[in-house]
Formats: sequence, C-alpha cells, structure tokens
Amino acid sequence: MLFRRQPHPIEAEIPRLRRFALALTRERDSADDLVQDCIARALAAWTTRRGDADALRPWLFAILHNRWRSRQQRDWARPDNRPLEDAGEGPSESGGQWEKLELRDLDAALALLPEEQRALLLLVGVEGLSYEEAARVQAVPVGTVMSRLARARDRLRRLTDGEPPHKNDGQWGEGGRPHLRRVK
Amino acid sequence: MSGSPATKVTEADLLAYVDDRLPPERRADIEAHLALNPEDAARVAGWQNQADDLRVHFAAGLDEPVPAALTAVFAAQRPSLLAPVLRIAAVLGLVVLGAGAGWFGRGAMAPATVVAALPQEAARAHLVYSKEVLHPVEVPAREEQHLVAWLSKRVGTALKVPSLTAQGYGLVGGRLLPASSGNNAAAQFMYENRQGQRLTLYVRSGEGGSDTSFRFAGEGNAAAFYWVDGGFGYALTGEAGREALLPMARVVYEQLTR
Repeated sequence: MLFRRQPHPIEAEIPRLRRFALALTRERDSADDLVQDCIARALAAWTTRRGDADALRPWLFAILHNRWRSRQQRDWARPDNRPLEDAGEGPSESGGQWEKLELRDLDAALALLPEEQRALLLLVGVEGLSYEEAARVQAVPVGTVMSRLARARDRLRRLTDGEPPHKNDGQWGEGGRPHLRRVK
Repeated sequence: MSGSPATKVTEADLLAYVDDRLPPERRADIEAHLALNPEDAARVAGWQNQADDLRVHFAAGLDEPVPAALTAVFAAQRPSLLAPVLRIAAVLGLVVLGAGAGWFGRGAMAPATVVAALPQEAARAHLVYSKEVLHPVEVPAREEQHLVAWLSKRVGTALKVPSLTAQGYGLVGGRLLPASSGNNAAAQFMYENRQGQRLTLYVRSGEGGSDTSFRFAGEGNAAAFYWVDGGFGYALTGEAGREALLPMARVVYEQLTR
C-alpha cells in the first residue's frame, strides 16, 4: 500500500475537467463521457505536449473543448436526433416554464446562455485563464473571446435581474441552438 | 489633470479591469473613466458582483467525488487503494485544514456525495439575503424565542442558535427557505458584525448517509464550511475569507454538537 507511484498529473485535473465539461453539456453523463474521451486523447498525445509551452490545464481544456466540438458537429449532422433532444431538455425550451423559475437562480440563468458563453464565464472568471489561453481553448481569435465574454456577462446580468429570455433576441445567435425555432 | 484617460476606454478595457488583467497605470485610467461614466460604472459593478456569484456557484462542482470509471485508466500505474482517498481529500482541501485542528478529524473522510449540494444551496441563500438592506431576515433577533420555535418546527429538529458574540458577530434574525432535501425546508440565521459584514448559518434536514467532518467550499470571496450531523446539514457561509471563517465555523460547530 505504501509503495504507491506518483499519480499522473492529469489525474489531479479531473475535477476541473468534469466541471468544464458539465458547463458545456449541462448533463452529467455526457459530461463524464466527454472527460473520459479527453483523458484518452490527452494520454495519447502526452509525449507530444511541449512541456513549458503548453500549460497543463489549458492544454487539457483545449482537448476537451475540441472533443465537445466534434461531438456537436456529429450530432448536428443527424437532424432527426438533435431537435428532439433539444425539445426535451433544458429550461429554455418550454417558454411557459420560465415564469416558474426563480429569476435570481444563477443556475437557471446560466442554462439559458449558449454553451460557449457559459464556458467562458468559467474559464476566465473562475479558472483564471488568460484571454489568450481561453482563445486557444475555444479555437477562436482573442477578440472573439472578449466580445463573447462581454455578451455573456451582459446577458447573464439581464437574466439574473429578472428579464425574460425573449427580450433582446439573437439569444441563440452564436451557434447556440439553431434548431430550436424549427421544432414544432 | 487626471480627469480623462490618455486613450479611449474600450469594452476590452472594462473586461480586463474586472478580470484584473491591467497594468496599474492603465487601471487608474479606467477608474478615472468610470468616475465620469455612470453607465460603464454600473456595468462594471454588475460584472464584478456576478463574478463573485459565479465563483461560489462553480466551486461546488469541484467537491464531487470522481467516478472510478474516469480514473480506471490510471489505476494500472498505481496499485495502491489508499491514493484515491488521499487525492479526493486533497481536492476537498481537507489535508490543508488538518494542521493543528484535530478535532474535526473526528468524522470519516467519506466521499462528498451526501452533501454535494449543501454548500451551494447555502451559498445561494447567503448571496441573496446577505445583500438585503431592508429585509435581511423574516423574524428579527429580538423575537429569538419565536424564531427558534418556528424554524425548529418547520425544519424538523430542535434548532439551537449558536452565539458568535465573542467573535464580534450579533444575531440579526432568521428566515425560512425552500430546500432540495428532506422536508424541503431550511432555516437561515444571519449574523452581522460592526463593520456590516454578514455571515449566515444554513440548516436543512434530509442529509442521508453518515455524519461528516468539516468540509470547505469556496472560491473568490464567498466561502462556506459545512458538515452533516445526525441527518442535518449545516453550512456557515461568509465573505470574510477562509482563515477568518474557520474559527467561527469551529465555534458554531462546537456549540451545535455539544
């Protein structure tokens, strides 16, 4: 028992990876699925990681984000699947439920943000990534990260101040949930 | 004149100001700008409050025990059964807390499933009501007897209100809150010191599983120490910082479990 080896550096990051994955998917099982996928990729790419140049945490976040993106694309490619899933989950789908939500409930408000915006609030505001690191994680220019972050903060503030989500449309304007409007 | 900044203040500047990513001289520029532009100042203040709320909100996510399926790939490299327990403990910050405070080692280092949502629920309640100026509590401290009897009945246990007078905090009062556990009722007691800093003690029923030792959750300003005792979950939440909060949580804990 006492002769244990040093844990792999990735292991200590797992709780943060799970938190990030959950911020993206908002669903525990698919989040853990994503983390597992990310760990497998990270271990496979471990020897190619450029020691100092790739700080471990942003490097892992970038892999996870990348895996999430390709799943998104795979799912969007199956139009029969996605709208049904969308219609069935999340508080934003049935407009009538909004009134019942506690408007100050941060979690409910976060659920109404597009995934990438929600992820940025975590990456920059909580994980403390630099704008440049966050941009590498999301594979977009720094300018995009900053305008996205400003939008996320303004929108979340409006939501927690009790403004219904219908106002100020373009709510899903950032590739969040393009199928929603088509669901009948 | 220091009235107007040398260059135009952009949205990116405001973000970097809130995220503390500006060099000091540029910070001063932004502050000068905010002093003259109430709209930007309100936006920045909103972002700052939100950042605190988000840190508390997301902090609870780190408390959850990691499923074995996610660590299985590493297990081959590490034959010990002891290590995962230590790792979970390290994630929870229990190891750091251990020094010089043996009394809370009385509980087992069980995984945190039992109380995963407790600090989060308590922190939300804290953030909502500790900012209240006019109605911080439903029943004020001068009606303490009534307060305790009422909340005891609703939460389902004989509640005691711990005293933090020696720590400089007086009881403001308390309120009934919805909870996601037990009989769906929780009690919140609020304390305040002379500087107007507030602490809240949150109690709810229906904590399954065994008693736990002290746990800590928090990032940024707000932090909570929480524990489970006899099926009830307790959380002391405040913005005083971990070091300041710990001795008070300890006092509360001792008074409640005596």
